[in-house]
Amino acid sequence: MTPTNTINRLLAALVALALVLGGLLAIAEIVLGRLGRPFWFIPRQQWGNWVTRQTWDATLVRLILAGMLLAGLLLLLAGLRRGRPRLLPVASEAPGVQFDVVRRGAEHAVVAAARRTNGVRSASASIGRSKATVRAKTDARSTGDIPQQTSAAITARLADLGLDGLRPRVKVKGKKR
Amino acid sequence: MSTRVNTTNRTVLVILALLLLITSTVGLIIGFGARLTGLALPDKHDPVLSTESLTAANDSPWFWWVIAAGSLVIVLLALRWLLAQFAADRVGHLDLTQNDREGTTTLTAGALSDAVAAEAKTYPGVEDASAHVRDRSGRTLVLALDVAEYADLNAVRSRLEQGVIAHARQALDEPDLPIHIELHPTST
Repeated sequence: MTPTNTINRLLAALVALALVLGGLLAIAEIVLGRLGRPFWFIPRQQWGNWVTRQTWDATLVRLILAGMLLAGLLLLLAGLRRGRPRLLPVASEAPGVQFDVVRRGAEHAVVAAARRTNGVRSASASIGRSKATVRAKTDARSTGDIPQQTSAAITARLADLGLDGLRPRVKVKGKKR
Repeated sequence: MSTRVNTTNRTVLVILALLLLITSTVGLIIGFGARLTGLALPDKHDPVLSTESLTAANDSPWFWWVIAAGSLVIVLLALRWLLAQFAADRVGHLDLTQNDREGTTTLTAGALSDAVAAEAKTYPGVEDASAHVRDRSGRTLVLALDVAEYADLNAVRSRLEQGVIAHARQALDEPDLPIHIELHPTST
């Protein structure tokens, strides 16, 4: 599971739990109130009086609304953020068979391919839904044709993995003068 | 873990976010006294809930029961959403019974998974393998393979298609059994 999905799952569990507990509390208080029984957890009368005394421009009301706005923005961000996929789909002609390459494994494979390129000292890779970005370092002062060679190596490796659909993007950093 | 749960989570989070954003924005617009053309909003000095409204709600024989019923619906939906976070979609047993009157045939999913993984491990370039059967609107065999850096993935894929995939489908007597294969290239 990707970190994004883990965070969303945790957030979903917390929000769902809050809704369950809040809903049960509301039902319990409503039933008690309708039966003319005293409150269980929420002092209904006091809360009712308090709300009717609050105006829309009260500082506390504005703060509560601002808190709701912030919570809404955070939930929206969590819901819309897709993050990087755990699996990268590979085209398959076999009926009913779906092949995927694990993204982390593909990144390691691409890094290994980049490091085998002449002149590359170290490399790191990050693969998203549409492109594979490789950052390489060289000890040479001038990068020369290292970017082209690295790009070719990466393209070939991605093709080996069946990930030809990904656009390779290479950044090579030379040694400072 | 299910992709469906992840999609549901994102959808529900966005819906709740929009509800929070809309209500809080309208509340803040009223609170700061801003005016929106075409919308008759309360004045910022008005109470959030008027005494008359509260009295009318309390005097109504049905209002609070409707709120309680609505809360119950929310509780049930939220409970289902909560339980979905912990639900496993892995299958323990596979029912291969064709005719109940002639008896039942059950296959332990672990036995199939072990056999599939053991066969896949014998293929050149496959360093490790594990498998499981999941049931998400239909059975799917999921096979996860660690493949060596030197491995020819095309060759591995075609060996899988001719060997382990065909054998698994034959064992379950399901020629169209969906198979999901996760290839994990390892660095040596």
